[in-house]
Amino acid sequence: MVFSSIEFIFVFMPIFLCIYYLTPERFRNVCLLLGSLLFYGIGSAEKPEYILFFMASLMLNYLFGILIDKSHGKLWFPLGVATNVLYLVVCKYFLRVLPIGISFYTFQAISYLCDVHRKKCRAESSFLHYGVYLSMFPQLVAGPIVQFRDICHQIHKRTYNFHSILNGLRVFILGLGSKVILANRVGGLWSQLTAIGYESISTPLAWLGLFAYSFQIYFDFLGYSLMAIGLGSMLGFDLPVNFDNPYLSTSMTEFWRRWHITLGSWFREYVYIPLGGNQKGKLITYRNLFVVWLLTGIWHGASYNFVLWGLLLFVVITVERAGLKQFLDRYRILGHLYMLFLIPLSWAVFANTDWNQLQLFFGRLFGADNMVGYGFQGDFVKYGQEYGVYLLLCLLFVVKLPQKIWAKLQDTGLGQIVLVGIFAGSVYFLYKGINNPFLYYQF
Amino acid sequence: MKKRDLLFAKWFLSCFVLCAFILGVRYVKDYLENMDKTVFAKSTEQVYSSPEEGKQINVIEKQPETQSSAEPSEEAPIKQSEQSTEEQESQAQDTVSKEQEDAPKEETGRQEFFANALFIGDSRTVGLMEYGNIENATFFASSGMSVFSLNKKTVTVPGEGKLSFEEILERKQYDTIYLMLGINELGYRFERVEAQYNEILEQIKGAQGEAKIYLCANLHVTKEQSEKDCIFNNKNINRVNQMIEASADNERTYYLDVNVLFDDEEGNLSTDYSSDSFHVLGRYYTNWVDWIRQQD
Repeated sequence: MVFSSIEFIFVFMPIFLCIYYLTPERFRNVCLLLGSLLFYGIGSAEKPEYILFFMASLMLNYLFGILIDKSHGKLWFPLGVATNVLYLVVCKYFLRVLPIGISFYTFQAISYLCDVHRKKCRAESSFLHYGVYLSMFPQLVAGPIVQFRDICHQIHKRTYNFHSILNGLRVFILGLGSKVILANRVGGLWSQLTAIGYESISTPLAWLGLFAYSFQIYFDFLGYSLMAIGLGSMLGFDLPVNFDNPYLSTSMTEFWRRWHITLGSWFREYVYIPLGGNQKGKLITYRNLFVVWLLTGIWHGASYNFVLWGLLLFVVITVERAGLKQFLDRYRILGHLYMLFLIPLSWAVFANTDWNQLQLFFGRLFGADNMVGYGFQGDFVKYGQEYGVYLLLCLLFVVKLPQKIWAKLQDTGLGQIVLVGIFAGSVYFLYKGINNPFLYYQF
Repeated sequence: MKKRDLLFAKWFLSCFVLCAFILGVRYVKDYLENMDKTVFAKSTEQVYSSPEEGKQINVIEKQPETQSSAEPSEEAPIKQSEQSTEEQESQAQDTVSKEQEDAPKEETGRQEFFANALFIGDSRTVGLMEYGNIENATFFASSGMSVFSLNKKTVTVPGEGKLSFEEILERKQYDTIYLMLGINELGYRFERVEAQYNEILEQIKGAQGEAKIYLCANLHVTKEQSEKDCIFNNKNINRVNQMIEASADNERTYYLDVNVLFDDEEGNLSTDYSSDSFHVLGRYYTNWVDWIRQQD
């Protein structure tokens, strides 16, 4: 089940929230765990075995945590981590099955085991509480990746009130709008490009499509992060921010501290620093960076283009580290220009899992003579007109201006109307898109 | 409690209840009218957030190693061959340059052939218009077109502005008319679709006394799409196509089924020719046009 869907917004969410708020405090975690499992079950309705995988992971990791705590971890810690890594790798890269949230909950499980082993927190003795940590539905599907010690206090005790619930709802609506009104709309352009086939699109259209994809991925992820935080708030949780205007970065290094922040933190905390970080000299630092970026690429997907993507990021970040970043930080306009091209080009590698398609697409971007068949001369104009408004809107929301305006607006009556309007608009677009199985694309 | 919160809560709740009511009514109405379209559908979006459900933009897994080389041939459908990338690229270039050599003769022949033709249809016909390389024909087509929306829409004709369907039929006498509609109607009651299709056919026959009318079968969808969807699948498409075939009298109206060109062995749209399950890739529209020409 996806947050931005009619069934979630009008069926699951209201029913669950009613039950949750009416439940007395001491049973709230039970309610949350059951609700999250139900959410997971509905989402995996076609592959019910995924729930079993999840439950197995849940129970095993709970046991591992206790065993590590009790026995001072010499055996159980490596065993626990290895089990999780093996589980993730086998599922994702060999069996090619993708139980919902596997990359997220496995990383959370590993972070838990590491923290228990390093004595940063006690193992959770309550299966219920551990279950809530791993399964809570706001962050189950798409993060943020929450480290156990950041949330264990809130699992035991959290409060909310009318105001915090409404604030959570406000954030949720902003996320919903970001996803449905911006990401989904502008994403239609990239879908059309792939439907036409790269060999038949003009170079200007290739660039237009690439920028559209870059916007889609941005607002998709922003939307999802906001919806997760908003839902968490409505349940009484304070989830970490995962996204901070990343397209305003002037270097790739800065970008990855603003994009998928919790993933970066996870890699830093559990891979980079244990390997020595940047404390052991230049060569070791480069090795550590290499490992982190290789793993980041692999984490994102099971095809070779993701490995390539991760390695490209490594190269860029290493070059920046060697001095380019200082230059870009000083001359910020150049930094923005640099990122203006680097971001879409890196997404181009990310977006194409097929090697031939990747080559073909880059050929189109840089004017290679690799078109096949009769090209539609007016394609850039046609799609420019069709998507122009949405692209400009996206560009507007990438910069900080709307947020500054919103900061002033959010406490006013007008601001409340705007929020309700965004909600209504999102529901309208969801409804309109619903009857088209190929989202927003009639035949 | 701030006043803003109460205000927001009130308005949001009203909006929410209103939306829920409207959606509920639609759901019940659709259900009672036996429409298979429902308010809940499988969502397939989510690009970045979840690596699992991500990458849904390219729903169809492209075949990594093999690609068909599109050699236009007489009767046989386009063959698939296994080649290394280099061979493939050079062969593609050979094919293209051969096509370019033959191009001038073919070109004029093709343009003349379709000079007085009218194409009516949905986004596949738009594809023919944009990628089929027939410049002189008239096209009344748009994404989403159906037999129900045909007379309600206007389409821009270069040089003449926006015309309605009736105006398109009245503006001149065409030699050939190609009609391809049917997929956007799936999910409506079949009898209604059949009745409306025949009504449209009568309208065309009435306005175009001399034209040869080709009733085109709807393109199949890919196997994966067909298996996962209860509305947009090949069983339903074939049912509509059979109805269309029955409407052809073989004196003025003829049935054309382009699926022979693009189908796989099981009667689904081959994934060699499509990446989005519903349309052929842009490069194959010229093959489609050539095939139409050969059917005359």
